[in-house]
Amino acid sequence: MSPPLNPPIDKRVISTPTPAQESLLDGRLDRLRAATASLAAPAHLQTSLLSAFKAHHARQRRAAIIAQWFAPGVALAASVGMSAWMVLAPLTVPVPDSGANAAYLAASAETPFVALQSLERIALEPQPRLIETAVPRMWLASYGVPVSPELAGDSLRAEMLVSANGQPLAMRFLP
Amino acid sequence: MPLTDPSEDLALLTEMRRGNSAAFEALYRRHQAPLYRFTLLRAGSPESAADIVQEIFMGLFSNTFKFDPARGVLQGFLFGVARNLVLKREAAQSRFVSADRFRGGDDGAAASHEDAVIDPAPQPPQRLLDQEQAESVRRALQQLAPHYRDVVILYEMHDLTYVEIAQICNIDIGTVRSRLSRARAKLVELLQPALSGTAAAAPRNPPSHQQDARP
Repeated sequence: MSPPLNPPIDKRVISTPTPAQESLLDGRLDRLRAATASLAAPAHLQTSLLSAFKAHHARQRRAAIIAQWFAPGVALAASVGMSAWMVLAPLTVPVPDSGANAAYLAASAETPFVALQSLERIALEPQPRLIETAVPRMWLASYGVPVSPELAGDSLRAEMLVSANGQPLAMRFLP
Repeated sequence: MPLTDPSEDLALLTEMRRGNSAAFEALYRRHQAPLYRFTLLRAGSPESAADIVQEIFMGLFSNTFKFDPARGVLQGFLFGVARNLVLKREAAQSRFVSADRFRGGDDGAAASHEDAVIDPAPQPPQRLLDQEQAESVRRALQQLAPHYRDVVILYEMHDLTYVEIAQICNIDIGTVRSRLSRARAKLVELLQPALSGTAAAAPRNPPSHQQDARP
């Protein structure tokens, strides 16, 4: 059987000591104080603590020196490594592997846009729009692309980047 | 009132943190004996007392125990750390007694153990002092519940004020007063046979904790 968790309340059974008893208790406590006054921690404790203190601060000093001398080198190496990685690593664009987007992006990779205006003009356009359209093959001739007279009447599917007022900025042909 | 000058303690502590071993040695010499005596009377074992003193100073220089001068003096802080370490050991040793009894607070849940002046799980008796009367008081002290023992040792053996004891034990001043009063009454009861033998020769002065000017 386990003992009760709450010990009995003995508040009621403690009687108030008389002044004489209190004085006697003070005398006994004084004796205890006198008997323990000379007690101190074992002498070897000071030696071992002092050694531990010196070792602790020696470690701290070493760590500080290492940080002071090697931190700039580590930072420089990290910068060089990062720069090399940025220059040498191939820039890849993740391509979704399914659906119309995959076909679209695959086609996009094959037929780049042709600028119809200067790059500065395109870059400065505040609201460019991308529209899909059909253009007469003959239209290519105005950009210096040779066009066969037999096919001049055909039209081609194309994506066109146009400005806010409808001016063509860039174009690419779709397969 | 502090046994050591708080401003000197602070200066030594600053130097110690810079790695000055002489400052650490000075701090150790200033505080080790009162801490050892407190833990010896509190824990009742010289081995535990030495271990706890070592742990206190290791924690002090490695900054495991962070002293904030804005919250009190170093001596009170060290006594508080010592008390917590003793409580931790007691809690680990006491497998069958609820850990609630070791808490210093006076909340409702702890009310029942709060009233118990006698320790329900005392340490086995071990003679520590040669002087017979002093040893009998020490043994009686050992029978008090830990939260009563704290107050008696700090007040009677280390001359700390109610305010300082309240900070160390994390209790209010009224609780310090009531614990001290009840612990003394219990000590009289425990020492009754010995005290009655010398009653005839006793002086008729009021008891120290009633006439004391300590706040």
